[in-house]
Amino acid sequence: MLMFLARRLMTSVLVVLVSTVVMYVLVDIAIDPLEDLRTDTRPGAEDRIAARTAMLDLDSPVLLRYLDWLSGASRCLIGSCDLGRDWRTGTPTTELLSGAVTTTLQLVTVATLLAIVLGVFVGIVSALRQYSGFDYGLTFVSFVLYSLPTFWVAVLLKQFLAIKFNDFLADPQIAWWFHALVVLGTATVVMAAVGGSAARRLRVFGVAALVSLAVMLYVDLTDFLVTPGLGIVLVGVLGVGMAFGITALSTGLSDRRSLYASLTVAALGVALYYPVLYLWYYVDASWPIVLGLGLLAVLVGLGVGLAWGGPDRWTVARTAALTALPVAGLLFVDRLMSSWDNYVDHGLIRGRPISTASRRTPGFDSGFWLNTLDLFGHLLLPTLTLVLISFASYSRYSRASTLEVLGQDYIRTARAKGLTERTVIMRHAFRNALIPLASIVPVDIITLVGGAVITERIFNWRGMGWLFANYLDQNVIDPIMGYLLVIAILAVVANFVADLFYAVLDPRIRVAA
Amino acid sequence: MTVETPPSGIPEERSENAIELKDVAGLSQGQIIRRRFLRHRGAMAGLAVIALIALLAITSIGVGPVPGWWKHAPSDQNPLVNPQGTPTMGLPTWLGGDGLAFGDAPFGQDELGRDIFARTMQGTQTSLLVMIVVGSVSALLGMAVGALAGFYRGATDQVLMRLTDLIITFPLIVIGAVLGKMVGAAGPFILAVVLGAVSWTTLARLVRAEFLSLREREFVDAARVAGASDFRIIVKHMIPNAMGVVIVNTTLLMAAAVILEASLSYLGFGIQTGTSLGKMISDYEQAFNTRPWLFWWPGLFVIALALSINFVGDGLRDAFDPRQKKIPSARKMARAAGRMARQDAKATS
Amino acid sequence: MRLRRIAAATTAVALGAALAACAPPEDENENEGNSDSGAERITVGWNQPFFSYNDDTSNGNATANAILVYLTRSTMNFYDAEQELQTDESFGTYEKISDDPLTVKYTVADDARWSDGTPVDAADLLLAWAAGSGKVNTIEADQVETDDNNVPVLGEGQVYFDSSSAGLPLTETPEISDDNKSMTLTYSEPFADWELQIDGGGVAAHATVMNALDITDPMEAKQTLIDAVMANDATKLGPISSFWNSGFDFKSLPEDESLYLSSGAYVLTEMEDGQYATLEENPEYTGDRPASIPTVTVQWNEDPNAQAQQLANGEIDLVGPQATTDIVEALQNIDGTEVETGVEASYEHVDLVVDNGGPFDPATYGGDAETARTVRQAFLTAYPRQDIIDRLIAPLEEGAETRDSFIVTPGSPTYDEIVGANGSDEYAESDPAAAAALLESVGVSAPTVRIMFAADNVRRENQFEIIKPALEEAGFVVEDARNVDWGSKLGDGTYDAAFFAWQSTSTGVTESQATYYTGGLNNLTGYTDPAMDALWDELSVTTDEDRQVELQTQIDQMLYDNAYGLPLFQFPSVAAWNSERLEGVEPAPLSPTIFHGYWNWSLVD
Repeated sequence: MLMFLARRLMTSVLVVLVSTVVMYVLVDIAIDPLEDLRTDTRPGAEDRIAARTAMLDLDSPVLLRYLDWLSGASRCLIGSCDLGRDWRTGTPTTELLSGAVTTTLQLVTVATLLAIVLGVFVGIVSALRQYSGFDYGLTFVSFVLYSLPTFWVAVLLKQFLAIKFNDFLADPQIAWWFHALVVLGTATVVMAAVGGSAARRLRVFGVAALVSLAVMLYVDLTDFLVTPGLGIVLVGVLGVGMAFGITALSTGLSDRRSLYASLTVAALGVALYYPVLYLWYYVDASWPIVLGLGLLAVLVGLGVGLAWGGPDRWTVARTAALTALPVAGLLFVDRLMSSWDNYVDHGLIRGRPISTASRRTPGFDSGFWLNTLDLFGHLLLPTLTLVLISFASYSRYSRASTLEVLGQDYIRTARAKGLTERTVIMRHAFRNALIPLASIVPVDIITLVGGAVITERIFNWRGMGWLFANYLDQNVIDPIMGYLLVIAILAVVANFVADLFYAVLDPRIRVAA
Repeated sequence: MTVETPPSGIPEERSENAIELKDVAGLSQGQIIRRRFLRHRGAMAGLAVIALIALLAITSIGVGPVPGWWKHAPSDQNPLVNPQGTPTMGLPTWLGGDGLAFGDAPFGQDELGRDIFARTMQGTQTSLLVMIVVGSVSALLGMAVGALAGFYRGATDQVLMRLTDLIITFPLIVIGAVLGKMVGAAGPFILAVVLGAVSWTTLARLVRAEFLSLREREFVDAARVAGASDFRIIVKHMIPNAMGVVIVNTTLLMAAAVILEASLSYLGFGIQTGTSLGKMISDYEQAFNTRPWLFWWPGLFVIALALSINFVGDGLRDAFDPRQKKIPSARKMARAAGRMARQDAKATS
Repeated sequence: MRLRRIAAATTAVALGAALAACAPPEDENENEGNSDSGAERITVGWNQPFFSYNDDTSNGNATANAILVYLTRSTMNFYDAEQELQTDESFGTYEKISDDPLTVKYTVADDARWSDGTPVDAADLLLAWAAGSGKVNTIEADQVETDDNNVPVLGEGQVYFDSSSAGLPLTETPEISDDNKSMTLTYSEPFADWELQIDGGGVAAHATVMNALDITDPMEAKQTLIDAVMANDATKLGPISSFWNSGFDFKSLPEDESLYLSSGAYVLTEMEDGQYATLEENPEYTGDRPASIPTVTVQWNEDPNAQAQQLANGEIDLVGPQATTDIVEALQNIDGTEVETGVEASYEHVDLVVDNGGPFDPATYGGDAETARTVRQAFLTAYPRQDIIDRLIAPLEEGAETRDSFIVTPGSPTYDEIVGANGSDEYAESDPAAAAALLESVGVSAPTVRIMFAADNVRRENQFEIIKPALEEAGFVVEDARNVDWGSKLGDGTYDAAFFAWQSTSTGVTESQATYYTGGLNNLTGYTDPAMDALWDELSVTTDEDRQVELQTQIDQMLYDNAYGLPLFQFPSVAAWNSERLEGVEPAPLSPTIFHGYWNWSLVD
């Protein structure tokens, strides 16, 4: 294993080195730092060209300049990076990158997480219902998403999801036909996704329609859009729902211990509802605290599961922990929602929470909860733009790999053994279908970072993609190389992680030392 | 490489395929594929749309010196037919319009009176050109690299695959931007060749995997025993067997190429002279609220092109690679499984 | 066993619930952070990010900088919306104490202070004089080596202030009053625009000197500057000029507060590189133009469409994007928004380059100036000016007309008189046939003209599409030399004709001298005409208005006669603001456009 890691590290370094050489040469050919001086006929033009040539060392062969750049870059290893500078303003590349990297990561992380969760879920469901209306509909939708030019969609999103939606928030009157549309639409989609016999479909349709009608009514009657909030009752209802759902997927409802453990966790969530509100009242929240509490919730879940014990106590513990996280999430979301009207009424927001440009509201700093909402308001559109695209590819991938897995002999064997469909799908099909995905996700993140070039430009986020496009435009090589270096390292790491995942998840693959 | 992916085997016949097998009995492989493809409704629709769009784009304004049937050329400046250049195309009355009409400027005009229909058609021609050139260049390169790497293995494989890794390191749009900045002024054809030269990597990997398994097959040995040269074995015996992968992936790549070209134009690193759909969108982004036809038409054509190619690609994949099919009927099997499960449940309770 | 567990779980939950119960649920007191509620703040959208706090250098001289300087540094005079010069006596006064020789006395108000508490005084005026007059420079402009940001690099003992002024070179070293509050400036000859030469709005003298020479006491720094200027001490002035040239360039707020001292209504408090800057009310300011809105944020975004969408979405309150038909209409469609269209001070014009060996250069015809002039005339005769107006400008601005004078702006009192006599009617209509005849008359056939314009600007692309067929009809071979970096290529000789815009910053009669004068700073065409230079020289020392008009007419006429180029149209402008929130906005044609009159702004309740 150690040998493998060492060899892998060496090849990675080599890939980064060679790719930076190649890109340095390519970028050097593509840009022309003397563009504005080249055909200068004013007196003294030669001097100006000579001065800039000397400053940028353009006379020496490109490879020498690369070595020069490399010697600066290699000092990153000892903690004092010198990635050159933007010679037009003298700003060091490292300074340009430091802010940009966080910006881009923020954007890409959220988008990736959302896309994976949604894409995998929808993809698997559509594979299970292959050639159903749901499947065809999804195929069509994902192809449409594939075919949308980002920049074209972004303009529309700004208009309809930000401006129009904010307008709507000012006076949230939902027309009856919209209610009807949503109710019928949701019911149809759920029915198509669940499938089954005609009677079952009808039943599912009815239940889904009733539930969505209830939700719509709740939203309408409580003015949810203006003053959202879950309240202890909804936290309880949703928590219990989650406990049932997660247990059903994880161990099956017949495993009573797991069910009781999850329900205990949900009940604890309800019990802690007010104490947690108190906590936030006295403690200034911050991300470390929030994440720490999330971790604590998982540990508590494990503890509850172990306390319920039984012969397979760790399975129970896992289910309980899996339930604890979303229940804790509910408490977090509820607290966040309770700040919503403070946010919307804030003098800088003035009832228009969804923003069309930039990373945050200038000068907005009103504590953790409002700042988080502000962040979400600004993240929404760019994230959505990125998600639209990678959602399509994840759903296609997971559909394909699920189909492939479902055709395997071990699935047939599992069914023949008389395992329930849930066990077959969750235990055998689902996990194996995830294997190829695990190797795709890290690589896909690179593509997403690339896609951020356009998204950042449209939404005026000064991230890495913006940096790259901007400096390519201005013929300044050092910041471009800084960007490419970060991307190359990211790509190498991503590929490495993908291989590791693969090795861990698929026992057929062994790491050859 | 220290981590090997399992070779993607040739699908074994399964008993579930019995019906399908009966269906195709007596047909050659090519006939089966063609049949499956022709039965794929999405692919057929996609193919029809592409054919229509191509026909429209080429015949309406003509190609090069050959004039088309449409009365306006893309750069002609005509007087505005409607104030502001609103489209003259009318919806039929039953759709709430003023009666079906095309008029002189069906897609509207820009402020110079240039005909948006003609310009969209010109942009579509550019997109089609980019699509085809990128597709062919990357198919050729991908096949060559994948075939050599998979056939010779060893050092050749190492070198070629490391080269592939190198290109995959960067997102296509980033390399595309650098190359576009380099050659964008040279026109769409050169740009497409260059883009094709960096987008063959996925294909090469797939072809290589295919070749790794094909070269162990008997027909290759047979050819070798018969004294065929390496070149002949690769070209005559192995490539035809790997054609499925090539065709499917090239199609998907072509769809991506349309979007890539549009995106590069939007960033300003794409085609700089002439018209492309991406450039039209980015030029008239401002107009989308006030003169929406300037923004929507090129956008719709980009989407229509990419969408229909994606569907064709999907159909091709289903035709070449029936592994993902749960034939004969998914529902039937699910139902059977459900029945069994219920019986099981009854038996245990 | 199982029962026990259930019982235990129930107990735990009940315990939790009990705990919760003894803590009454109130809360909802949002722990507001440190900042204002935002009610007293507006956000203004602007296209180009700020980059230098010294907008008097040739590098920092950009509207993007001038708008923030306008909010942070007081001046003794300023333009109102009608382009009339107004004075601000709360900051300082100036008076002409003698006509012959022209002598002007500037006095800074007693309570005028920088935001660090240091008084504004004559030392600040003296620094502006030293920088603008060039009298203390030890090297000439053409001997200066610059680095690639066009920032001069000075050698040991060299003094060079990278700035220029039309009037100050005519003045003697000023006298400073004993109380350091007044400065008296004596001109060697009369100068027409004497009011526009010094306004007290330069960077702080003590900050410059303290940073340049490592002095810690502000008053000592001021005295050092006065002594150095009076003694013309190059060892001290060298570092001072060097720091003045580039020391105030920043894109995010520096740690050293002395780099952004304010003498005006606002002071910079926050700046994120390329994203936004925040200005807050300056507590030290006591003058007549106070901040009416406590906090102003300027947010930068290059994309006019995105700006319009930001305004529609309430993210910004005031914006003045480049006016295009679509933007104006889009802005008008936003509810609760007031839109004002007008003309900007900028005007589009076409320049013909006469010193690059191209078709308009006499050198191409063996020095035959007459042939070159005829070719230029032919080019301009074919140029479809009216067509451009009708198709590109009229849709956004009712009654748009061509601009028919090189040096006076439409709407100014003398415009009609000058236009009537300057020979502009010769080019009233595009006439390709006549142009072809002109070309033929000098035996020049199919000259190739490289036309440069901004590649990323749809209006300019459209202009090119309009002029191209007309010029080709006249027999010119038009080469498309569009360029994204057109601004930096201006004057480099790689094109033969270029259309772009000039932006005026004042209405002085000598305003455009630098454009047409031989070797002038903005003379990008290589145009040289000693006769006209003489007229400019006379104009700049003429204070009699009738004579000024006469001279201006002659200059204009010469420019038309020599086929210098053509003025095309005044830029249409648009400003839009959220009228449900902000009132009192009065955009001005001159820089600082939408920021003009910020002291009249007020928030709508």
